Amino acid sequence: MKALPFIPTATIDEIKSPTEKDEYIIRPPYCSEETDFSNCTECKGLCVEVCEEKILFRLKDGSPHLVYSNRGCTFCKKCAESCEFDVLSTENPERVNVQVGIDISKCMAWNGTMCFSCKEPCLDNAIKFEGIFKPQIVPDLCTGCGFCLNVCPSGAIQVFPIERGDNEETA
Amino acid sequence: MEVKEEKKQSTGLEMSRRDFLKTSAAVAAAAAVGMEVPEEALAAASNAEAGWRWDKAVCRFCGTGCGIMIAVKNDRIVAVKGDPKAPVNKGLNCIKGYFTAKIMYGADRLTKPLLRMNEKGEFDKKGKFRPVSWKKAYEVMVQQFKKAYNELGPEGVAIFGSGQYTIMEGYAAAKLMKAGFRSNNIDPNARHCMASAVAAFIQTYGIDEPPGCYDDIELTDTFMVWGSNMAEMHPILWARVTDRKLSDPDRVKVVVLSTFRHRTMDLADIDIVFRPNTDLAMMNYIAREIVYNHPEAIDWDFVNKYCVFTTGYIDTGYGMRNPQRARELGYSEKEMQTVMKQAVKRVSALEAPALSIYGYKEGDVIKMKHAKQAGKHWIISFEDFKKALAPYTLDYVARIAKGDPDEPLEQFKEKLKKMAELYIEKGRKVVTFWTMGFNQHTRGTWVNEHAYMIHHLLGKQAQPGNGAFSITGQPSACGTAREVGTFAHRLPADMVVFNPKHRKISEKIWRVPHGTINPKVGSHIVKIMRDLEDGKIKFAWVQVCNPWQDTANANHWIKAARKMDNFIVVSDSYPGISAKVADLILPAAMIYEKWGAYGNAERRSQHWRQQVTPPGEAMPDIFHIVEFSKFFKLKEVWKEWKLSNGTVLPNVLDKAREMGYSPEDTLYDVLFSEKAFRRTIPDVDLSYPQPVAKNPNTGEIHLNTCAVGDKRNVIGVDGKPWKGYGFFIEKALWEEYRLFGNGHGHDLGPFDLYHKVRGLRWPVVDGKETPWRFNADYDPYARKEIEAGRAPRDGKFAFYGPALKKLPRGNLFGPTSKEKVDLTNKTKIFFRPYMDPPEPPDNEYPFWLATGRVLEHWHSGTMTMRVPELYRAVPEAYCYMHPKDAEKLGVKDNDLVWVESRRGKVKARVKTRGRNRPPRGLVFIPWFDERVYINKVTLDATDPISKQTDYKKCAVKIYKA
Repeated sequence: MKALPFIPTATIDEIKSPTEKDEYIIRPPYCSEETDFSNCTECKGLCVEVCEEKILFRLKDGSPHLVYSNRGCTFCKKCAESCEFDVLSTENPERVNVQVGIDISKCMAWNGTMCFSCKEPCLDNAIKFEGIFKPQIVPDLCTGCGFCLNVCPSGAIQVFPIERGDNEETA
Repeated sequence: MEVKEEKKQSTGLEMSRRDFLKTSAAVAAAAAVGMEVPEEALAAASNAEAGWRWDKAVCRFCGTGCGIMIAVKNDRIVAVKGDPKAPVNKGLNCIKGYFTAKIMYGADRLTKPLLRMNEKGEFDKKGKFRPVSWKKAYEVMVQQFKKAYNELGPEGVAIFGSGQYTIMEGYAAAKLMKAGFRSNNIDPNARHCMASAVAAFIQTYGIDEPPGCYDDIELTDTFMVWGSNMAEMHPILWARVTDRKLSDPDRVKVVVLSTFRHRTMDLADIDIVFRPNTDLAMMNYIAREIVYNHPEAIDWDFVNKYCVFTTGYIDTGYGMRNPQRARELGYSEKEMQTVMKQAVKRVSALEAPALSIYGYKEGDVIKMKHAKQAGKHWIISFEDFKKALAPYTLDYVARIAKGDPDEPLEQFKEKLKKMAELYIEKGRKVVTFWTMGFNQHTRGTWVNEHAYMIHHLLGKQAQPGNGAFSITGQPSACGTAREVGTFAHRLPADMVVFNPKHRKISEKIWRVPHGTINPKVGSHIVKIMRDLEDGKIKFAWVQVCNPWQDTANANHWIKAARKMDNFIVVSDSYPGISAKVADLILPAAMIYEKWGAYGNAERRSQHWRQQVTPPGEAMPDIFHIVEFSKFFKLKEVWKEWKLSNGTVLPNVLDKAREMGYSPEDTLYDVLFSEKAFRRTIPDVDLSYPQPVAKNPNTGEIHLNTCAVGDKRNVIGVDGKPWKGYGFFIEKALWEEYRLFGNGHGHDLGPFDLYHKVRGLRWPVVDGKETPWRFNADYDPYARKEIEAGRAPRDGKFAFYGPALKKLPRGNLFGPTSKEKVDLTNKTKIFFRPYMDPPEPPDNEYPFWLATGRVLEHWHSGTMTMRVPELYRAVPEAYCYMHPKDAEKLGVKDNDLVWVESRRGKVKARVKTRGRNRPPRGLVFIPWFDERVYINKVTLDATDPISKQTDYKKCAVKIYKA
């Protein structure tokens, strides 16, 4: 599985809209697999405007997508509450539909170095350490908020698309 | 406890041990600096290592003293890994250690001397920093030093020293100040870090540093962690504790006590959040449990053979400024509210029961009559000791000590009881660990002594797996600051300036005339700041520290540096706050750009070779110090001086002449030249290079900028290219320094030996180290005392430390006789009461403020904040706060708040669910971030005995910014 790009704030302007058709698009929280984004063309993009963390952007078809930057999603609900077409709705799951994983060849705590930088921002306690080493992300607890990505000193935390098979496993 | 079960699951402790340490050590990665190289990649492609020169070294950061391996290619460090042969860390590393070499490659390294100058190119206090030559820098510096020195004498100049000096640097600085300038105004930042531990060691044992060692971790059953967030501050020791806990989770118990929740509590069987300062009360509760409810647990054989009961005064103030003087200096009314307590305080409801044994009741006034005799103590009877413990019932102590207002009292009581039971249990081995929670405390010496009190009563001290062990903060607080004695009152090897015998010994070793060393104790580090504010010190030199960021109540000291008529020199590698307030900045070489040695918390001295050339014109601190000595003739320093208290330092020039010195000789000639070392250590080979300079793997000769110069040919203080001193000055300093301790319980091995091993724990006798001191099974000095009949022949201990071993008898109120009892080879059990800190929260300032560190950053952050990975991990200092407090203040996570005390205010971002979780009513703010200059807010109250600042307790108000 290929990891999704992690994009520093500095370059966000350049990638506001993915161009390649087959690229995996990270959608905002408060939507589901069945969500129909076709109404978004009619909208002014309120969800993008209200996002406090400035991590939402619009695709060419007007639909919103999420770009992890130095920050992540706080699940403030504002995008869903602002949605006039019920595309995003607080009735949908409060999570970003991605899978977050640790590259153990890069992770310092998998290689004899004591580090737990990723643990602090994880408010869901989704990163489990075996004692003090070998952290793993528990998919059931991870909301995909993305706050752990940028604090990792070695860039070992990566975001993967959720594929159908994975979905069943982690559901 | 229910809570416990839940927490265990969340930290993954339910998993089996799976030899995680072993596996992890095996895969310890050799990581290229700046990029991540996985172990597999390295093993597979050993070609990539072609041309890498590996050598052993020591980590730059905390007091743990981890061994690391460093690879160099083309005069640049390319990789660092944990040293698998190092007994301390066994190949492991923490995140700071992993990046330890990268600190040297920050973009804004200081590479040239910088002087404040006017347009005409003259020194001007109000001028801007401009680059100058070393020659110009030293011209101005010497002129300014002489101005202050000639006006105010040896008391008018000062050095801010460090627990991060190499041993040789610290020794050179102390020698220059004490034997050369005859000034005792040299005091290290270790004063902020370890002074309370030192004072308690000296008062209890008569000799500094712990009896035990890190091996205790694998040998004990119980860890009592008081006021120490080891998981972040001493991560590798914590890895060993975790390993021990997971290897026998039912037997091994971990108790963690703190004023707020932190990462170390994740492993705890019992977690105790207590009200600041009540550690004193909890310790007395444990002692009371032993003495009143479990007298059978007292090891009477140990107590009778080796201990006496002692106590001291309580009306000793809080180490703040004299209130009258503070008023003259214009301290604000708000500040005065606290400073007044230096003279007089009222007994609070909390402390009234504890102080009832002295006849005090709530509301009574205590006049601080014994502030100057804070360290004085005397022998009391066991009956007095027992009587003094009477107030510390579980009910009383739980009531005042419970730190989390949301925790049920009964649950808290249960925890205290269980902790006491673990201490008391026969056959259970117990190690008590502590760091800054105990040491940075206005009664820090007392609470350190409390730890020994408990262990002595139970006979659980100085044995494998049993002992109270003070963990050190800085990499060489022990090795340099304490052992070398870069303190205002100390000389090497635990000697003190106010003892005529000690002065004589030192003068003899240093080959300086009798009467040279100043007998008057100098200014400790907080007092150096106060003296600058008072105009009593007009020249100050900062070496290997950042005192303007790390001294509490900083607004005063910034003003003193910039507004007063004085000259501040800062030797540093990066422009921190101290450099910015200075008048002259000297660029310093960093750790692996010079030869050096550090001494860690378990008395282990470890050496390293110079690995690379320093950048630009940066030079090692030894060069800074020794070059300065060339500008002073004996006739300028060894003449007669009158000190402010009337003491006269005699003219020793005649005696000097008799010793073969001329008044025209420089301090360099007498103290640091090859000729000088030929006098003190005639038999040592000081040539460079010599076999020890060879790399053990490649045979390549290591650099030595001080001895023979380097490829840069930096233009030195004489305007000529630097070619070195022409001899192995680091080795010379080490070998001379060794003369002080050998044969006196501080024995160190010869220089070359330390390059064959991974450090040795002193005393090193016949090439052998000593893991447990005072215990005849391991310590040759203890054996000697027993064999000579000076310690009980039917026992195996001898507490042979010589200091403070003649005491009068008395009662709880004071000494009652003049006659002194000889306590040779004995130790002490102190009674010390509970007292409030000087500035508890009130209606106007309702929060406690505690400061400290985080794992990723070292001290004032000048080094680690320049490592992009560490910066990224923790980019700023947060204000850790309870969510309910945040709600009450109307702030959310990441909102900015003002944190304001009676002295100053800073802005910080709120964190309610971070790694530190304070109870309601307390906030924690780390001090590494110069943009969150928290020491503008903190209180400069100190322990009256140790003079160490209490950074853990002052009162603040908080509001939305």
